[in-house]
Formats: sequence, C-alpha cells, structure tokens
Amino acid sequence: MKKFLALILIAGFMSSCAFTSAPLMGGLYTDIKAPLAVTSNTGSTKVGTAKAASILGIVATGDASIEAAARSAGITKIHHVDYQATSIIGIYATFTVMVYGE
Amino acid sequence: MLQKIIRLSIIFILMVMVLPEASGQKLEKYYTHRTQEEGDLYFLYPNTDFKNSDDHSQFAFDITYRPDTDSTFFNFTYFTLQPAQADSLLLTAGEKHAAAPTAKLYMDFKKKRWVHRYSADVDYGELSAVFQSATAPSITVFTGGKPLTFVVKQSKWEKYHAALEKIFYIISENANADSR
Repeated sequence: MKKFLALILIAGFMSSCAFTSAPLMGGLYTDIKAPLAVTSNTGSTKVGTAKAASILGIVATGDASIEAAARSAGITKIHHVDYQATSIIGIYATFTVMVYGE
Repeated sequence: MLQKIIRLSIIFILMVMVLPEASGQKLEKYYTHRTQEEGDLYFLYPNTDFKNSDDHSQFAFDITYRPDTDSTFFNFTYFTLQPAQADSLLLTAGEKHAAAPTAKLYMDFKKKRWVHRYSADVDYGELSAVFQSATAPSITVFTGGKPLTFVVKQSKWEKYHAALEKIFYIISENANADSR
C-alpha cells in the first residue's frame, strides 16, 4: 500500500501533470488572466463563460470554446475575449474562456 | 523513511492547495469588473453550489450587472430528465423576494439530461437584497406552473455570501464615485 502511494506521488511529480495554457506558469500554483482576442465591435453588455478542466493531466474534459461561452450569454457580437488559467501543483487545472459582447 | 516522505508530500500538497485560500478571500475568484466607455460592467462568475431539492441535479447561474442602465442579467442553467421550459424565476431568502420572467438562451441534450439555459432580467435592488441575506436563499424555476426548487447548503452559502457582501459594497461605492 505504501509503495503504491509512493508510486502515485512520484508519478504525479514526475509527469507533466495537469498544466494549462498561460503566458506565465507557476510550477506550484497558477492563476492567470490574459487576453485571447479582440474585435472592432464596440461596447459589451453581456459576458459568457465556458470552462474545461484537467485532472492530473490524465483526464481533460469540457468545452472552453468561444462559441460555447458566447452561447451561454446569448452573445452575437463579440467585443473581446479573455481567458483565465488555473493550475494547482499539476493536480487540477482549469481553462476558462470569457467572452464580452452584446 | 518512505512513510515520512509520503506524509511530508501529502502535507506539502495540502498546504499548497489550502494556502491561497487561507491567505484571505480572493474576491477576483468571484467577480470581474470592467470599465468601459458605455459604463461599468460587473460579472459574477458562475456559481454551481445550488442543487435541485428533489433529484440533486445541478443549477448554475452567473450575473452580469451594468449600473448605468441598471440592467441585471441573471443567466442560469438547469438539467431535467424531461423537457421543462421555464416561464419565470423566483429568488427567496426569508421575507426577501426577487422575481422575473425568463427568456430562453438555448436548450440542449447532454449526458441523458435536457440542458436548459435561460436569462432573467432581475431588479438589482431585489436581487442584492436576497443575496445579501445571511440565510441561504432558494431559487425556484417555474416550468409550466410546476416549480423546480434549487437549494444551497448553509455552509457553502456562508462562504459565497461573504464574498457577495464585499462585491455589492464595491459596486455601491464605485457608483458613488461615478456620481461625484
């Protein structure tokens, strides 16, 4: 049992784990917001989000597309898109897209 | 020796996971604020703490507020086994209420359940009064007269409520700053 636990821990530390896309990465903890896209449309009255998550870098699911985020708030004209990436020591990582528009 | 390494590793992992939370409530985890030419825009990130009181299915909502137009979009998602179109929404906390008709954003079918996404333009004053209540509120979606009630555990609500109080305070202070 101990060996099994140790193996899991070592595998966790040695593997690339659950990291996410971000301009800056912290090996232990990442929580970054950054821009993804901007358009020439003016003003935003609505915000929509879409999220994908990864566990240990083994399983990753979710729809973090701009389309899904825009649809979640009924946005038809996109003003700009930001994203937020979080990662906790490679165990759990999320990638959230935030679409601003009207 | 191996046991010690495992124990230290577990403590280290827990510390890294807990420390960002323990260092104080990170408000940016709950909301974002944009200043733009057309007026400020506040967005409260999706909350998934509420569950259906019958089948424990998830309820998710987010809030977009624009002080200049006093418009509050309460966008929400709920899941049902049979299609259930929403007519209206009721938020209740003690004696405080906020109600609004709903507008469909989309409907989908995923993981054996119908996904309903709606938007409601709720009065900001009523919404903030309900959500500033220390008592955990309930959210009722009326689907053809049949109510679907979503509730939240008091412990989860207390954490969210603490953040909301600060956010509503920030919104009111920024509105005062604008009007000066």
